[in-house]
Amino acid sequence: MMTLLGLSAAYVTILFAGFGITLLMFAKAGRLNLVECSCLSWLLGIGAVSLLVWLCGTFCSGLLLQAVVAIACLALGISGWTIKRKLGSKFTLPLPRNLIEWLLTSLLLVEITVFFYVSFKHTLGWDGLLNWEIKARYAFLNGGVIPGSYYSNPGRAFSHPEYPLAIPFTELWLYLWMAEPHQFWVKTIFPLFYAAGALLLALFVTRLSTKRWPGLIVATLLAFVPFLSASPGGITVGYVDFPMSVFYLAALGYLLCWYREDTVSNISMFAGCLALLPWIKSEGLILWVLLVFFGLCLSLPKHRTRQVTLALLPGLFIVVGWRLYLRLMHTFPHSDFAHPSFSLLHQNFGRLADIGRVFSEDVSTPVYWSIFWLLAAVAIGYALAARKLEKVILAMAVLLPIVLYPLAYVFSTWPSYTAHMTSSLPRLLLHVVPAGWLAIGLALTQPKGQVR
Amino acid sequence: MSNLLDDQTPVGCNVSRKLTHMQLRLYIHIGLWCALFAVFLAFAIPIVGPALVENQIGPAEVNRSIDAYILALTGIEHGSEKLPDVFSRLPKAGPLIIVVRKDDSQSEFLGMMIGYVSWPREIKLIKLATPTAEKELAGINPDSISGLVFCLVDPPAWLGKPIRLGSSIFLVPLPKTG
Repeated sequence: MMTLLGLSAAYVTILFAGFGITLLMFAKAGRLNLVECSCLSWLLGIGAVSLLVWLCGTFCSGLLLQAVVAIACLALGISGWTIKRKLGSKFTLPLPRNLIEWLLTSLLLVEITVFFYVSFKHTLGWDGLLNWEIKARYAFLNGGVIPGSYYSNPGRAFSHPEYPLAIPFTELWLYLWMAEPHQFWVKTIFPLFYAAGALLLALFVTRLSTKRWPGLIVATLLAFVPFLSASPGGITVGYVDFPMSVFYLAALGYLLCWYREDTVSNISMFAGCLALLPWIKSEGLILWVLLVFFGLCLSLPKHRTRQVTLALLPGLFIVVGWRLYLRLMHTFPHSDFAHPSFSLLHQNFGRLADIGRVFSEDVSTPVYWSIFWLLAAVAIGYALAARKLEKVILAMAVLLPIVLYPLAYVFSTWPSYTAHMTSSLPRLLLHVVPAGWLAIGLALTQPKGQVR
Repeated sequence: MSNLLDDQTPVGCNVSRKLTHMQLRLYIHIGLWCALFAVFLAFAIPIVGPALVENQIGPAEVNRSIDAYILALTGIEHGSEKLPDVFSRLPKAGPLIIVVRKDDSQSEFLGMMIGYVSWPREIKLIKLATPTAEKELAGINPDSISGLVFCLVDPPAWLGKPIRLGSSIFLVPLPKTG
């Protein structure tokens, strides 16, 4: 009973902090979509709490750390609410308007419930346990702070001490409130990412296409990608790849919304989600660089380069801060990839054929993807055929990570780089899946004249 | 009047042809996506469906995941409590050496699990490329370590009698441990 009360308190503080930040960013919007605010409360809440626990953990620990972070969460929530009341913004709840919308919404809610149910049936996966949860547990056993010896011990290099702490410290926050490192209840955070991702996907497609049905269709179909729901790297086993894909979708979605409607709330939300990408997983840096590039491309015709430049600053601080911290902690260097260099690229150039073969085998494996990548390819074709900048950017946002991720294996240090690819590439491709569904959703509604 | 009709007929034809063309495109568009979604679901449902119904909920225990893995790999129940209890009897100084077989995912994974539960003790992972551990262990100074754990690897006889912790895991405490 006390465990569940603690769990609830942890969630309330996370959502309260996230809600406060969301209201601060959306305060001027006038009308606030309650579903959107709830999704963002979760995403920004886990970002805020994990960063606060990390930063405050450098000068306090134990109950004091928990109290300081909880007070900061409450302060964020209260500030957001105060600003919202001052500016007179109103909440709206978009309800389904016809039978089809009611059916699709109901199906989506059933899927979210099923993911909660299924996550209780599985244990944490290997990486979920040995790369991510391990950090939460060690920090919990040390009063909420990961001991310096963890970073520098080469024996525990297998757990990748250099990986960022967004998910481990969200798990830690739950542990601190439950007063025990409870591996059963901690898994509840992952279906919440699914809920936030699916709802945001529906929202972005609706907003960018001005039609609700395609958004609801792709949001309900998202769960049917086998790798998400039926594989060792999916939603229910505690891996961070799906959460990362949700942040990528959110950042991309708000960037495209900003291009359509130049508002402070859109660019602020883009900045917030963008900043958290490298804080979720190291590979987030690649997606961060791509989104910054897309942001600059979209800002040029609007003469809003300054806004995008400002938007990349929070992420830059997090990247630099984390790198600096790892250096101060004398972190044992990870060894999965060598430092990229032209000489190494030249030396390993011959790998490209094998990389291409493994990649094509991977994306065409129905057990992982069904025919999702074929759907995405058709949607990319639609987007490119539309010959509009935002559609081309959307196509590139799906295409470029898929091209760049396999190329990284040119620098793999594994004795068998193909084995390295087989074990990790599907999880990397997962980062793009919700963005791929966004492209599919928008292709569904491409105006008749643009269907070339 | 006739001139007017002559002028309008080609325009009307063009508009109607364009409309028909657009309608055709729309039908192709709808047909394409319906077919793609149908194939997508036809492949996905037989994979996703059974995966969702397999296993049962729980148990809602604190060490749910780690205990399940240790039980599956070694047969030890509540390994997250029992193994640290055994390791706590080893000398405090020096790392715990965990010996695993290279390219054997079960052995490597068990080694990592031992590394996980032996916190805060310092650990050192040794990956064996050969069937025996003689060569790799020959250079180890017994005074500088707290013990050796062998994961799906048979400990060499010269190290003394090992303690069997589970079906595939042995602990070799050093003489000073008693």
